[in-house]
Amino acid sequence: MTAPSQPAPAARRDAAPPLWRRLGTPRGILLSLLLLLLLDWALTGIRVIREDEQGIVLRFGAVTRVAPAGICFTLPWPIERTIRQRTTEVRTMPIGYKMVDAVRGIPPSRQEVEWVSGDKNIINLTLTIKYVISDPVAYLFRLGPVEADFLVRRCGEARLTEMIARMGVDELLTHGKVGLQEETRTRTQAALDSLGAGIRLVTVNIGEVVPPANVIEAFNDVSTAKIEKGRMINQADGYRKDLLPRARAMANRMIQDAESYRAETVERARGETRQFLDLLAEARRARDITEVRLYLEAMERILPQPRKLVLGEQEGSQLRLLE
Amino acid sequence: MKRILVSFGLFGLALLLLLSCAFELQETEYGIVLFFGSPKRIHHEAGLHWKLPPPFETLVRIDRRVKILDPAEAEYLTLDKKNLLVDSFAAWQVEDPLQFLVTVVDRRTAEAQLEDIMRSEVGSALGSHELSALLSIQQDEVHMDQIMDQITARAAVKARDGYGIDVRAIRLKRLNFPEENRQAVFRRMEAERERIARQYRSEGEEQAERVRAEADLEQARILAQAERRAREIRGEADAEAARIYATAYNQDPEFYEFVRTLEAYEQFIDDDATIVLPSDAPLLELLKNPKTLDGQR
Repeated sequence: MTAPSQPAPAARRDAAPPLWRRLGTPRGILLSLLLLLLLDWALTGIRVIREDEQGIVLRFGAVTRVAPAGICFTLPWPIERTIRQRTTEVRTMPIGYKMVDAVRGIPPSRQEVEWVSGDKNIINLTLTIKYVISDPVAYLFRLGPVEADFLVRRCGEARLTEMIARMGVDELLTHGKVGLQEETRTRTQAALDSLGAGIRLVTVNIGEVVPPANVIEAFNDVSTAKIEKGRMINQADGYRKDLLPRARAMANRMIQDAESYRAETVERARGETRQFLDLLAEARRARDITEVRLYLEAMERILPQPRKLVLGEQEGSQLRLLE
Repeated sequence: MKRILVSFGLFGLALLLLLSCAFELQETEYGIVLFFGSPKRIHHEAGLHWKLPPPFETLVRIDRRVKILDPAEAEYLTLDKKNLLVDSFAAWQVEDPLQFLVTVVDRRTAEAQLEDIMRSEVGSALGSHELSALLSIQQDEVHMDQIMDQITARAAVKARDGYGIDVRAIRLKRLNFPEENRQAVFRRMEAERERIARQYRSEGEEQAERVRAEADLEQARILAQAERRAREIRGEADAEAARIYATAYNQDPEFYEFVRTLEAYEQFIDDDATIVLPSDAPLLELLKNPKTLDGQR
């Protein structure tokens, strides 16, 4: 109790000499050391939070506030401590394979990569989830960093299993991927939120969806068959595209032929009748003589040709040329 | 100098005493203060708390974080006697630290108990559902999430009552067929693919044939129509020609008949024909009796 009274008179006595002189005395050295320690102690309350981090200030272990990037002033240790947590960094969680294996080129084990679809097919599927820490306090204390990261994988796996279990393998291999991706994202996010993981999913990307190696040929054959089907239909279409123009050409030909027949027939009729009418006009002027002339001319043309010309004696023979 | 040392010593002792009375509780834990080994009070809030120094009061810290229990995959039987390899996990945390402390003490024991609960609940739930409740493309048949919710609820009751543990979720991480069924599954998958491939091929044939048949039909139709049209045109042409002939020839049918008969003679009497002319044929009149013709004239 008497100890504190001792330095007081000493300070009064040393008031006269300058400050640097007082530092030289043993007591002065002790004091300045104490002062330095005190300063150092106070300095533990100053932390720099980097741009990609957030600082969580704990007072005796309890979270008091979250400090943004910049200089953060807190009470010195051990009263307050600051945990710096990177929050802007996008983290990756693979599902269906392990990052280390992927780097080394080791294929994933069947337990990792295999899923069972709703039509009871086994299918290999990998997926990559990218996420950020949205709530560092929840991330750090609700689950703990490692546990939280693995929760992303577990929840993702659970949701995938659930969704793949109601999809057909063909849907999975073709148009179902996009929907699955989106659904996985929202559902996994919901699961993580319900556990308060403080994690926000950024993207969910389905890597590859392939049938297992020992049945892949059968699957490929289906693709081939699909292509073949298309080819067969294409060929038939080619046949049709070849046939119909030909048919139309032929049809056109037939009609054109008919048209030319029409032209020919009608024109012939016109020509013939014209000739007849001309002749008739002529004949009307001198009917008898024209008829005789025509008759004789015709006989001239006809009779030289036959080889035999028989002159019958009897009247009323078989052939009657003129009546 | 000696006094200073004494005072420092006293100060240190006081500090030590103070430190043994104070404790810091993290956000991640509950603190149970034991008075001579029996629980006295529970601290739920993180921060600085006080207690009597040991050996009067001691502190037990219990982790309050959500933990994930991920037991190895196990085989289960569904209601319709199908073997399934199921890999599930549980998210759990301590809800009642005192009961937790009394019944299981640490995480490992807790997880062993929890694993037993999980196994029995998952087993009984899967055993009371058919495989199609888990795996089906019939959307109204599958209700895996309900089954898992039910498992979670039941396990939660057991774990809470028994160990002060809150089971937040039990989820099915992975489903698969057991090793001995896999070959059968693959064979079935292959058979299914073959069927689909065959179906594609015969569908291809079917559609190709249909396109061809349609093309043939179209061709026949086009040609038949053209033929009909051609016949119409020819008919019209004939009709028109007939009309032209008729109007012309009707002007003097007798003359027409005369001229036309002459033409016909020219046509049907060819080189081989033998013509028998009666001797009294007018054409030969001059040949026989030139005068007669003269007289006529």
